[in-house]
Amino acid sequence: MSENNRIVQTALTGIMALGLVAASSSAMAGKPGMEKCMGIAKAGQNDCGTSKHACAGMAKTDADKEEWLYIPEGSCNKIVGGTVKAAKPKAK
Amino acid sequence: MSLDKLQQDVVKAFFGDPIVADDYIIGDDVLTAAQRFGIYKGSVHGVLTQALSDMYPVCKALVGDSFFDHVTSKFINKNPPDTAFFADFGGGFSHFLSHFESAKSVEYLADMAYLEWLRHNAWNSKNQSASDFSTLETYSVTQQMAMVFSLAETASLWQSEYRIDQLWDAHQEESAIDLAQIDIFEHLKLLIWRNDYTLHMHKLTAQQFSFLNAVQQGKPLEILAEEFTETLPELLSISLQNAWIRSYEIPISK
Repeated sequence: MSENNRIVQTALTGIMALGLVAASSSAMAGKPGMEKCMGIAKAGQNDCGTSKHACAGMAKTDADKEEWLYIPEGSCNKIVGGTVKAAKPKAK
Repeated sequence: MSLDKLQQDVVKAFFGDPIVADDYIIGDDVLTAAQRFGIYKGSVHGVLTQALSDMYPVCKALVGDSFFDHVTSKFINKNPPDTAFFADFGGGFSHFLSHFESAKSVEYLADMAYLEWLRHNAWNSKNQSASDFSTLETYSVTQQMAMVFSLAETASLWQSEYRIDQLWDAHQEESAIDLAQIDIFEHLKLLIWRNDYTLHMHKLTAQQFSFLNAVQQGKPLEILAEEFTETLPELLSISLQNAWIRSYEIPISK
């Protein structure tokens, strides 16, 4: 076994010991079991854009009625001030 | 006049070119054509100024509101949005600052702008699926040696002659860093990346930087082993544990 091969085998064994399996970091948008809940985000903790800005984390005030968070489906209506954000109808 | 020409003329007029408003806009007794156009122009500039203010809050804090408004106004006229993706706007601000005469007294300002731009970029970069690293042993030795790793698509490697990371941190609300204690004149090698909804910055060692740079260049595992020898296993493990490296590919042999 060449020196490089030995180093590679050691490196790969180390990686496999980490137990990293495939996991998607894709956004939760559209993920089953989650819903957008408006009116409950702290300033700077919102998940995505509104008419006032285009980016996650840009909410200026706590509990802004337009700002939303992804939370487990069915939870939003149990939270004071929470309103489920309806999905946009799909274009035909 | 074609709609295309009308749109181009109005956009030019938004960003400095004079316009004869009467040719394009109908005025009345309440507002003249020029006043009406001024409302549109003010609205566009307002949105862009706010966007820059949101993207570069530490730069703004460093130079003060008044100077920031002055420099962003100049920047907007010279660098209006030029793509359909609004998140692309503002990318040249660091370069602009580095050539802006009255900003040169704050010598690290352009670097701070670049750091804030990299953070903005990491926010807006697309998410990426992670590879399954538990199956690496199923490949042949030849395939393993040819394996090419990839940094997270949200990741940027960056170097500065200043401790911009600490300066940025000191301007955050819950920072534990005392502004007065920062030794700003220290070389910095930094990685900025996003993992789900959290942005990260990590000060890299020279070797970590060199390793991630080699990964970014697409060097196969065999070459990485040759360059980093006995340190490769640790470098690779740290990179995977921190999600700096998200995926790998095995080139198809011809």
